[in-house]
Parts: sequence; C-alpha cells; structure tokens
Amino acid sequence: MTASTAAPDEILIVRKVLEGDRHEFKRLIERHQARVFNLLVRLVRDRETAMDLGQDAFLKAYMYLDRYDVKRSFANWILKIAQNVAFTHLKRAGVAKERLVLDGPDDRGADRLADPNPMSDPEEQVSRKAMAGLAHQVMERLPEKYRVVLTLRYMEGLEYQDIAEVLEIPLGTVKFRLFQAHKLLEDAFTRYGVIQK
Amino acid sequence: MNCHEVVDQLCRHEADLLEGGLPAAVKAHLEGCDSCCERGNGLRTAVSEFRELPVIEPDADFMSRSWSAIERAPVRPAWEAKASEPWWSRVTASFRSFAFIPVGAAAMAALFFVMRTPVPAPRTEVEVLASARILEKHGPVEVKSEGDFTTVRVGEGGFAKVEHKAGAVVAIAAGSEVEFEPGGVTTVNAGSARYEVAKRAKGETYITRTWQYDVTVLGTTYDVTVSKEECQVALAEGRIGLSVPGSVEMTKFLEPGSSHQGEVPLERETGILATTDRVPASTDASPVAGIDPAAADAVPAAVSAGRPTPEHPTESPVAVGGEGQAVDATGTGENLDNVFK
Repeated sequence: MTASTAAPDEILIVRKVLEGDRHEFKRLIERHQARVFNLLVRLVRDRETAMDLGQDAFLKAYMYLDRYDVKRSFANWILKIAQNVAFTHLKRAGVAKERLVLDGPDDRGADRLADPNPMSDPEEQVSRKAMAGLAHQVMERLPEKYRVVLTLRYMEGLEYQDIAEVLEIPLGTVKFRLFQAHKLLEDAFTRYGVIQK
Repeated sequence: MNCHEVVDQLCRHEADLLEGGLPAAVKAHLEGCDSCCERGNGLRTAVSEFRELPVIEPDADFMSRSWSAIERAPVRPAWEAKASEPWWSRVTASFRSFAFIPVGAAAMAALFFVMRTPVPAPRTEVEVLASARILEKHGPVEVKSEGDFTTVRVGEGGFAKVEHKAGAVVAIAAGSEVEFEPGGVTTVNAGSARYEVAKRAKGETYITRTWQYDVTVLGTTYDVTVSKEECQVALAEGRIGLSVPGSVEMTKFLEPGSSHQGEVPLERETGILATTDRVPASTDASPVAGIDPAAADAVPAAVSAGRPTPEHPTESPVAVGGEGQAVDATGTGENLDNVFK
C-alpha cells in the first residue's frame, strides 16, 4: 500500500508559484480550503477559530512551499500542516480533554443536517435526526487523536497509508487508533441505547 | 471465543481492518448469540451515521481572508526573493560560475589537502535564536527559525546544547530534531534529547511533545527518544506526567529512575475511555502496552527496520537511561548515558 502522489496539474501550479507567479497559489487554496477547514473545525470545534487557523495553515504552506516534495500528495501535505496548527493551538489554549460521557439525547448539530430522505415518515425523520445529532455529539467529544483519524478516514476519504503520512505516525498506529475509535463509538452508542447489550 | 472478543472483532471489521472478512469463529458465535448480533447491527448503524456526517464548509470569505494573510505577511519567504531575480542576473551568475571554474578547482584542491589534516571540531560562539539560544554545538547542526519557532537538527556525529528561553537546557543527540516554541513547549520530531528543566512557578508547566504522547514537567531532568515505531521517556530527577497528544490531562506519572514506552492510558480514573487503552499504573508499561498485536504487525517493513526518511533523518532509536539506570531500546544492553555528558 502506498500513499497518494501529487496531481500533475498541482505540480505545475506549485512550480509556477515558486517561479514567482504568486497568484497561482489561490488555485491551491480554492481546491483545498474545504478539506482544511473541515479538519480544523472538527479538531478545534469552533468555526471562527478554524477560520483563523485555516489562514495560518495556508500562510505556512506558502512560506515553506519550496520544502514541499512534489512526489507526495499536496492534499496530504496541507492537511499535515493544518493538523499541526490545530494541535499547537489546542496545546496553547490548554483545552481540557472532555470525557466521552453521554447523559442523554442531544440534538445539537442535528438541525444543521439535511434530511437524507425527505419522503420517509415523520417518525423516522425524527429518529434519523436524533441519530445524526448523536453521531455529531460523539464525534465532538472524542479525544483529538481519534477525532483526527476518523475525520481523515471518513470525511476526507483517505487511505490508511495517507493518514499515516499526514499524521506522521506508523501505519500500525493508524489502524490501532481506528480500532480504538470504533470501540469508543460502540461504547457511546450502547450507553445511549442505540445498541442493545 | 467470548462476547468481548467478538465485539472487538466486529469493531475491527467495521474499521475495515480484517482482511478476508469476519473469521469463521466469530460467525459461529454470532449464530448462537443474540446479544452480539444485536451489538453488531447497532455498531454498523452507528458507523454508518458517522460516515454520513456532513463536511463542514468554510465561510464564503475564507478564500479571500487566507489570500490576504499571505499578501500581508510581514516576512516574505526566502524562495520568493530568488524567484524575483531578473533573468540577466541569473545569466551573469552562470557566467561567473563558468569563469571561475579553474579558480574553483584550485580552491577545491587546496581544501582537499587541508582537510587531510585532522582538526578538532570547533566549538562555536553562542548563537541567539528566536525562542532558544545555542550554548554549544559540534559537527553538523542545522538551525532554522520560523517566526518565534526554532528547529534544531543535529546530523550524524553532531551534538548541540540549547537553552530554551522558557526555562530549560536541552542536549540534543546525533540524528535528532527538536522544535522550540516561545512558550514552554518543545517537540522532539526524531532522535533523542535530554531536558533539564528549571523549577517552574506554580501553575506553570513545561511540555515536551512527541507523536505518541506529551510530557509535562514541573522541574526535572529527563530523556525523550522518538522513533517512528514508538516514543520513550526516561526520568532522571523530579516527577513528570504523560498525556495523550493535544490533551492537558496527565494520565501516567513517572518516578525517578523509571521510564515509559508506547501509548499512554486515556484516563486515570475508571470510565468509558479507560476500558480501551489502559496500561498498568503501578509498573512501567511494556513497549507496546495496549497495542493490538495484529495492528502492530502491520507496521511496514521499512518503518520496522528503522530506515531513515526525509522527515526523520534517523530512525534508529537511541535510548538513554535515567538516573543510574540504563534503558536500551536497541537491545544492545549498552548504557548510552555518555551521549549527553
């Protein structure tokens, strides 16, 4: 299993920027802003902070663009920078780890989600909203190291090898953390009553 | 196979970690166990909800804000100046380099003769950096400053002693890289470093980050060794606490003379997280405490073999013992304490 490589057009863009065409970098921001922002907001759990950190991440990427290895995926590189920026912020802010304890149903976040099946009956819709809200809540309360692997895996759709490259950890550790994250999910959903023991 | 083991296998299955699907023993268990079937189905529902969580989009002005941050940056990147050189200056530079070929060759020859005479490694003068001060360095030592951040990379055969302005003296061994931040935070990216941390004021901490855990201290001496496989910390004096990366909650504490390798527990107290990644609190954890052997086996051969990569110039774990105790991750039994003398 090998990690993703850079897209040919991205290599061209990077080369143009390094040759002095600074505005070409906008294309890279445009292309990767959603994945960078999504990872940041999942990690720091605050939109405005994620906006600020996203700018920092792209600024760092620009400042050190000459260090980018074109044999590797640009997406992985920028996600790695974003992840480092987020962890440094969390460390400085002294964000206390929240315990994954679910006291009961919480629809926080559910209202923002679109109903995936508008034709389903109202009761089912309510149930789905509650489930989606619970998934959102569980995600927010997972420790950072599990949140980041789940986000990269399920939202960014990265392969294990890419996750290892982004996080700079061994492949075995990626798999271990994903396993642990699934155990935490199972535990959390069991407590909520979604899974019957 | 009991229910607990079956649920573990179901979790691996949902995480796509089982090659070839569920083992026959798990399937057989599921046929006769309604509870596990129920849990398996519930887990699948939970994971599918998780997979469907929406990607959160940034505000419409994210792009313009990011771009203006780049344009307003007080310091321009080094490569930008090079790129903006006019074409004729590059041509004249090439011409100059051709014109001086004979001179260069003569200089190289002279240098060759000089280098044949062994010269002791020079000790450099004190060097002032953004967040740290080089006290001493020998051999190949590369220092990079990015804003208030300073990265010190020591090549093979080198050594550096750095005073971190946050109140610590850090000795960095050959083949290591350490990053210094303005606050009391450093990161060991690769290799080994010995920390001597000054006594902290009440509530003030000093943190050393590794990819596997964070070390928080109040005033002590300790060694941190980082490799791609795992991280190790050995305590010489004082007391330190370990926490999962990004967390301020310390879940394992070390006493002088003890060391820790591998993952740290998620929780100090009992709780939902404590059941999944616990290491014994009273003894030093084994190098792979809490790590699933199947997952550990999956570490790629290149990583296991400790071959160097661009980000990690050396992957051979150099282990340094705590006070009066050798801790050896290489299996040679050699006490490497003299690395930091």
